[in-house]
Amino acid sequence: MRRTSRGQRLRIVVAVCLFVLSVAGCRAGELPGPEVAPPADEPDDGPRQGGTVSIAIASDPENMNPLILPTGVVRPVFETTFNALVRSNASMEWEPDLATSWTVSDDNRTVTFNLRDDVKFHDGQPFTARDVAFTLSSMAHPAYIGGQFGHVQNILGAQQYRDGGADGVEGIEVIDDHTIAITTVEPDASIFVTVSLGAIGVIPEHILGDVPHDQWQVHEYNRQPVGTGPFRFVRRETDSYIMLEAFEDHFGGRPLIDRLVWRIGDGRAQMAAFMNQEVDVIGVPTDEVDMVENRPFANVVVHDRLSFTYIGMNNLHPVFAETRVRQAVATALNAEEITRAVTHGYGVPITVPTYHGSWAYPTDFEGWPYDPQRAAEMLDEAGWVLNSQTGVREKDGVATEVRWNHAAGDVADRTAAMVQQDLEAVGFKLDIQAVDFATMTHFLMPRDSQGVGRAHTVDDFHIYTLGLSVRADPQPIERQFHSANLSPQGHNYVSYSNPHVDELFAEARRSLDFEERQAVFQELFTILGTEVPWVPLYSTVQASAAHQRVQGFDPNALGQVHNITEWWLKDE
Amino acid sequence: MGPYVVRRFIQSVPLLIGITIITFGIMQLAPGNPLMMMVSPDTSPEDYLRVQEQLGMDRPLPVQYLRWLGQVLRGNLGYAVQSGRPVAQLILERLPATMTLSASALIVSYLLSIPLGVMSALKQHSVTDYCLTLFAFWGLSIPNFFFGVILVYVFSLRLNLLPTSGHTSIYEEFTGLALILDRMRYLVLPVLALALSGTASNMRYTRSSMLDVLGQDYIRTARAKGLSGRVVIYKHALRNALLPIITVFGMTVPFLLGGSFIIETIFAWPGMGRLGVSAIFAREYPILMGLNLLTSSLVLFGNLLADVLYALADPRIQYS
Repeated sequence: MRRTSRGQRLRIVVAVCLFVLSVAGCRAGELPGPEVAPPADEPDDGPRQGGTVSIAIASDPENMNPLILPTGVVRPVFETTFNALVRSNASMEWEPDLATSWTVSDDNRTVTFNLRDDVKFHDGQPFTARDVAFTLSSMAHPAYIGGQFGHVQNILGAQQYRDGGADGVEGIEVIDDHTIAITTVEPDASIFVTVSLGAIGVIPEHILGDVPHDQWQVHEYNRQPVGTGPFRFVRRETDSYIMLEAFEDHFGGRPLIDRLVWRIGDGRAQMAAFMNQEVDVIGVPTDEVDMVENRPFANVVVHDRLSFTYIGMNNLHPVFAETRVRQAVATALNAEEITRAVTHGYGVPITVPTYHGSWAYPTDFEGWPYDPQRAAEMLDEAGWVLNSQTGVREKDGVATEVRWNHAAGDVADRTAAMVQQDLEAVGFKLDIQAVDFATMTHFLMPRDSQGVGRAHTVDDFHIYTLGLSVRADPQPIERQFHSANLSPQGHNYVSYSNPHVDELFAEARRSLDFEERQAVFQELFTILGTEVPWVPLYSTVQASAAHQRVQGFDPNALGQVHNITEWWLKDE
Repeated sequence: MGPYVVRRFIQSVPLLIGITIITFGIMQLAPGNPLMMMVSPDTSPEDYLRVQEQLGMDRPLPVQYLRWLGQVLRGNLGYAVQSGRPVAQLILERLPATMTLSASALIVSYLLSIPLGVMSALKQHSVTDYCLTLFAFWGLSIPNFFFGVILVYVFSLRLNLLPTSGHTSIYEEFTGLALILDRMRYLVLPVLALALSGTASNMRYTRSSMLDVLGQDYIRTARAKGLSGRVVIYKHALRNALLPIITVFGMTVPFLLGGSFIIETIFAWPGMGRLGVSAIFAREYPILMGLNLLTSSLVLFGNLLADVLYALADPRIQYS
């Protein structure tokens, strides 16, 4: 026992030493911190090479393989390390990336891509059409569990390959090292979405080709990705940062900055770090734009995001099953005021469920302008009469008392309060329940006790608000509105069904002609805006801020890093 | 004491299993599951079922639990749903950061609280005592996350002395002593934030325990024998007064390794607390089960450790 007690003392001595060291650390405040260099004497002489830029990111992308269950948080990291065949420009049109050009066959089913011949992977190996074929067919491999099969399922033979009935995907043909032809089952405009950055990143066959697909999820490659993008992976420290460096052999030219560090941390912590000049680039909540703008070193840009916010109503619920009632809800809501209040004036109100900058957005549709008087009349006409005793409307014994859900957070909380006020003014009663996001997914994608998806019922949810990310091409929104995607098959949460809308989606998919598709989508969105399965609220905006030493920072709907190869650091 | 410790260990096993069953059940009661958190509108229902089957999440709950338990008995904590990485590895990667933070906080709080508590007791009802008591109430009533934010505001944003968050410089690379000093700069604020409430409460424990002991007969006897004040206080009084502190220490052991969810999040500290927070929001059952198993084992171990330490500190206590 004596010995143990001596051990105790030893431990205390060690502890004291540790403490003294940490007190010494207090004084280390005089060490060179991450402050920027002293002002240079000579004037600016344009872009120059060198330096490190750090960008805030909310959580650690444990997995950086774009084919394995990618999450939203990793997307900007993919954009800096990977490429795809095409990418979207700021006008939402397809631009060459790894492909230099493409031709469409007469039957609109085959797209032949000509690929660059000067592309190398980060390990120096050349990129060829076989890597593209490998990437796309991997997503249809029978043992693949990365969850991205949906992107390739329209390629000819993908389903057979996945079901084990074929040795490869028939519709993917490598013509030579730098030419690949992709054939779809039907003419399919969304093939460009499939080969775009965001849906895929081209991964190297020479690294993953020999790895069995059921081992992919745990392969070391996911932690140390090798792509063709402007930056290559250097190292990572768990939950702390991921360091990338300029890829000298990048086909688009070496980026100007030497290093790119993704700094990992919670939004609050990142904001404090930005204010203290410890991180260069950050996303700013719109209600904090003023505060950040006050900092002399901060360059704040408010820009579009490819997403919008809406209110969804369960079309199975007797109240919301009637188109007239949904239209009355849209009319009763002061969407403009809600938008102004929750986005601090930055959001753009929308009348149809898509991003306002999309080429598919109908320009001549007014939507349902705010008019509570008119909304009340519409409800009266539809037979929903106010019960003066309860203060809510009723029809056939059903009252307009509904449960409202949103994923708790500043913006959604405020939205809920304002919606409640507007709707209760015309005789609804809302029981507001804020939940966490996982609970929200449970309401929208109900599962039975065995965890298997089941059809929605009236009570899974009544009315809710949520945001939706969209892509440059509007086709994927059919997952929310096409009747083939009713639960449990797909993501048509509100159980909306309209054969005409279904037909228009099919028509848009069949055509590869831009103007034709534009006309079809505008008609389609006008119908959705008129029938209001969702009440569209506003196109989401985002503010991004960069330290002023970062030149070329130009965030837009494509995000913060779309032009990162052009960024450079100014001396201060 | 050996048999006693062994018996306690054996008793812990059913207790631990009980804890994991309850945790497993509670987790399943929370709506949503890790797969749904990964499902985007791009994911087809077929993809979903495929992943679900691969992860065994389509099996009945008791089967899922037994599979988990079987894995654990073979020394495998399972795999994270989203990244597919082994849970043990996720925990081990974060353990050093958490231990550095909480051990430093614990040391700071003991080094401050015991002397201050003794001082407070010796000068009972003096101005010093009142000031320290005021400090203790303040320290106990201020939430540590709020204190953390204040620290960041004052020492980082206003005085620009210390970094706001993170645990290492990302612009410069240090080696050797410079590396240690760099890391320490990042350690100061989270340690202070984390140590505050412990310091305050331990100080109060020490004070009251010290007062209690000072009133005992044997202290009077010691003084009557003509022993010097120092010897009486440090050799006779303090050692006995530390008994309650040991109990408290036993309860702090899980915190040492389990991490602080809130402080780690505020300071972007790459430890287990942050792992836990993100696992909760992502409904990462395997990670949560792993963390829970670790923390509950530590609670049991901490209590055992406290009992053993009692015997060391107080010869009157014997286990048989």
